[in-house]
This record gives sequence, structure tokens and C-alpha cells, in this order.
Amino acid sequence: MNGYVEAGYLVIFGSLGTYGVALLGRERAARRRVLGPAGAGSTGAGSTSAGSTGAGSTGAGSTGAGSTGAGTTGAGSTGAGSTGAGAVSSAGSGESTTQAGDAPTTKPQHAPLATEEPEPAPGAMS
Amino acid sequence: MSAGPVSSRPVGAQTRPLPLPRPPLSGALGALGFLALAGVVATAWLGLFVTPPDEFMGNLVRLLYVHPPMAWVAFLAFGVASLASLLYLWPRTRTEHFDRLAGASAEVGVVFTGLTLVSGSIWGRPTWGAWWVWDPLLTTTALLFVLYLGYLALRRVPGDFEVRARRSAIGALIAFVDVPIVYFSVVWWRSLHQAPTVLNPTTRKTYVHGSMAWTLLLGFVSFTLLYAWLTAHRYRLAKLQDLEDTEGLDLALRERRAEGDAR
Repeated sequence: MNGYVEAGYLVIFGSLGTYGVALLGRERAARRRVLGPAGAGSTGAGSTSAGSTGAGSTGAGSTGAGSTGAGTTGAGSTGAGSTGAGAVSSAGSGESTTQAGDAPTTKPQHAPLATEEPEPAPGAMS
Repeated sequence: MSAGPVSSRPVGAQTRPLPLPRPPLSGALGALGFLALAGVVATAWLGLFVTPPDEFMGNLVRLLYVHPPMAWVAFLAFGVASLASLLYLWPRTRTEHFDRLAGASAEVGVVFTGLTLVSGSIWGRPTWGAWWVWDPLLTTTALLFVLYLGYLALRRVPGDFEVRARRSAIGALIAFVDVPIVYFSVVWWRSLHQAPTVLNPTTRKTYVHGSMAWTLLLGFVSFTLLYAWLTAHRYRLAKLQDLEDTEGLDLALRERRAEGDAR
């Protein structure tokens, strides 16, 4: 046919496809961040480093509902880890997300802050 | 200080992974996306394999089944952005929805304008012998692209929501002045770019017929549907980002209060 025609179609549909997919990905990531734990466990993407991120921070949500996707201990274990550092913890209310292109963040959602040591959860590692 | 954490949920309770709640109109938006995708694929198939080569342009005419529809979508997107900006500026209809719609539509319009310039350049190289010429239509289209890039940058300037939204709306209206200039530039000035083929404003005739006309029409419809789908998703993303910002502010305030209580 003509190399220019193929190149033109490739550029157009490739760019539109990339933009559309990126838009959907950003929307899903944003919904997961805003809706908190309800959206966090639905994929395994947010199951990393919840406890370590929150340790020593104040109100940064040192526990991860996002880490429960694989059936791990979640809130209790990471909460216990953060007490030694005197962290202000919002146990069980954090969300850990690790999205492509985003830095891993741990953000508490929809739960009031507590300024005390979190109570260890049943079955938590100590 | 010994009390346990204040939480609306029992500490240690395992949160069962819940599916993401479906946002409103997801089904309709999915159907719209499917229609847009099917239409765009059909346009590409008809344009590449079914329609005949042009008498003068040969196979290069196949690029024109997607180039004018993208230009149309860019105009439509900027028109919607301007209308939404106008509605935001009008005190009786001032809501944040119109501000979001203007931003979403303008972003999609910028994408389509950029692709219009690129596809036109790819068509122009074998036709005119140059990737770019300072033709009135090309120049004003490039100006349109830069103007709306500036508009998107203006939307990101930090500040109070009301102030930011108002100055963005004014910026969108100023940028839109270039749209009719782009469209009529081939009529007003001597231009290398051909005059409108589908609806020529001077002769009031159509210069495309048969399967070429139907394919082009399908391209216009499909890309319009694609625009609607992309804009709807960009709008929802903007809404979520606004919610996130609000929650971030609330969180910061709660942190400050907690710090004050601790002292």
C-alpha cells in the first residue's frame, strides 16, 4: 500500500489506545485510593511494605488493609511493628497502593486518627 | 495515655476484599466504549482494505478517513469546553461539574489536536514534499494546540478553587476564538491545504461520494463516540482527584488537631 498510510494509522490508533488505557488505569488507581480498603484488596497490587512505610510516621496509616489481599495478618502485625517507634497509627484503616508510575504510598482512609498504641489484633505476629 | 485506637471498625478485624463499587452509569459508558471501539475498528478496516484508491492521491487518501474526523472531534471538544466554561462563569449555572467537564473535554481535545497535526504531517510529506509548511491552516491549528496546552497548564496553577476555575474558564473562552479562525483559514487566505471536502462553505457542494463518503461518515461518528467515552472517563477521574484532594485536606486538619490535643 504505502508506508505513510500504515505509519499514520499506527501512530493514531497507538496513541489513542495508549491514552485510553492510561486514563482507565489512572481512574482505577484514583478510585482505589479514594475508596480505601473497599478497593484495596481487590488486586494484589497494594500488598507491599505497609508496615515499614508507616513506622515512625504520624498518622500515615502504618497498617495496611491493602496487605490482606493474600490472606496475611494485616492490621495487627503492622500495627505492632509501628508501636516501637511511637507511631501514631490508624490501625486497620490504612491503604497501601503501589501503582505503575506512582510511588508506593500508605494513606489512611475514612478512619479517625488515634494517638495511642494500637491494640494487637487477634492472631497478630508479635 | 492508654486507650486503644479510635476506629469505626474493630481493631484487627480482617477486611474482606470487596469489589470496587461500580460508579454510576458504568453500564452505559461500557456500551458507549464498545460502540466507539467497534466503529473505529470498522473505520480502519474500511479505510485500509475496502475503499478504492483516489484518482489523484492514490492510497494516501486512506489517511483522510481518520484525519478530518479527528480535527472535527478537536473542534467539538473545545466547543464543549467553552460551553462548559461559559456555564461555569454564569452565576446561575455555576457548579464544579462544569469546571470539571471543561477540563476533561479540553484535555481530550488537545490529544485529538496533536494527532490531527501528526496525521496531517504524515499525509503532507508525500503529498507536499514537506513534513511541515507554514500554511495558515497548519499554523493556526498549531496555535490552537499551544493555546489549549496553556489552558491545561493554567488549570494546574495552585490556588483557591473558585479563582482557579474562573480564570481557567476565561482562558478557555479566549482560546476558543482560534477555532473558527482555523476552520475558515482555508477560505479566508490562500492556502496549500485543500478546502473543506464534505461541506464546502463557498460552493456548498460535497466532493466525496460512494464508499469513501460512508467510510468518512462512519469515521466522524466513531471518533465522536470515542470522544464522549474518553471525556466521560476523564471527568470521572477529575471527580475522584477532587475527592482525594478534599480528603487530604481533611486528613491534614485532623492531624493538626491531634497534634494540638497531644500537647
